Amino acid sequence: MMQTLFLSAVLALALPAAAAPWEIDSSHASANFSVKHFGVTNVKGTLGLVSGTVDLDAADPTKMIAVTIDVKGIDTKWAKRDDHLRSPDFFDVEKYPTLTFTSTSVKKVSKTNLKVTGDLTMHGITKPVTLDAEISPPVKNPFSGNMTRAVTATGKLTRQDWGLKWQAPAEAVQVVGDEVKISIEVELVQRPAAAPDAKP
Amino acid sequence: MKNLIAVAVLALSSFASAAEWTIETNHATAGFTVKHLTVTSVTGTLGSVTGKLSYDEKNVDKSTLTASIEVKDLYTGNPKRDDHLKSPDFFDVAKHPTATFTSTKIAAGAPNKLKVEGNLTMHGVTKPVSFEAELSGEVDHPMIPNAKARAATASFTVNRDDFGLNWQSKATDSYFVVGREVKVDLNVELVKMGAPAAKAAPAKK
Repeated sequence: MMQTLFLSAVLALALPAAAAPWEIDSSHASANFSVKHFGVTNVKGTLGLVSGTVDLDAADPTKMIAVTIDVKGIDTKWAKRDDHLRSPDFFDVEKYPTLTFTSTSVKKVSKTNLKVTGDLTMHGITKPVTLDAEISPPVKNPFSGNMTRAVTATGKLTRQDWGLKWQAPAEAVQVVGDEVKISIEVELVQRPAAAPDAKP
Repeated sequence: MKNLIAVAVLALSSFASAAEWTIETNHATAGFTVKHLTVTSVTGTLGSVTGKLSYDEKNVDKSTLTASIEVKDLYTGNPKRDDHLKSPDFFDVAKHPTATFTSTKIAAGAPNKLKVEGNLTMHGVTKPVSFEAELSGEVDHPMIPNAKARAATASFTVNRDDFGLNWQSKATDSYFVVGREVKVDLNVELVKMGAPAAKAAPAKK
């Protein structure tokens, strides 16, 4: 455990130094998922607004990545299915409107790639997941002047692990697949420390 | 009436050995990805995908694919951006609500793959595009008796300015803010109806 923590800290230091945490720009962020229908078709959808912070310089890996995603805004291009996904058969968004992810370990795989493990709380259940993340070099946003970079994270999970167990009765094929592929695309913005009374 | 006969005759003559697969719109997406500030992949989807694949497994080159996509219902998760994309700066959906694709050539590729060439009409501009489509195996449709289902996936990249979608932010003089290349990902379910059940009542008239 200690060794992992130490390793994470060293890796974090080796990553490009950042003066301030990076904030997810929700306007340029999407949480996408894909599930098999009848075992053949990839049915795709997105969750709602993605927000959070990334601070790879944090000494504590649990402070490195914190993401919240609005599940109520789930969209799969079919209102009837979206309503079903929001219902207690699946996400039960009245009770569990958001999901959260908190990193527990961030390991550098290459200059641009990270292996991120963390706790995903969804539908009231917390389980670990590991994602492969790719981080871009920073560029300057021409509108705000803020430094900006992108992260792509991909992985997969088994929906039943989070109590999302609903299945249509059918013998021949599996109507809704168990495995859910996730692909998260976010833009990170580094906002300078706000000067008092600064106007945007 | 004459049209009906013509359609019937054509249907009988041209598709003797081709299977008719219809895109199941509720399990079909046309996704797209564009770079923002050259780094972030901003993703979105277009609206309903409808169409037909007439697939002749023995003579693949006799196969045809037509599809149409409701561009007017595009969605990127940000209403302000969606409105901008629908405006005359981009798709001008009041004038061009739908994109269409019509194959000009289909050839067999690697196992389970089809090489598809065709014309994509979008924003009133028609350009050739080509892609490799991957077909899954067939499964029995659990809800529709005698019907089969299979999936098709395809990806291709277009330069948006080829279709007159050349809006640039005034903040920069290049494709820095909104990328030029757009990756399109199609995931569709295809359904083939089986022979009608014997006890089905004959159609009236």
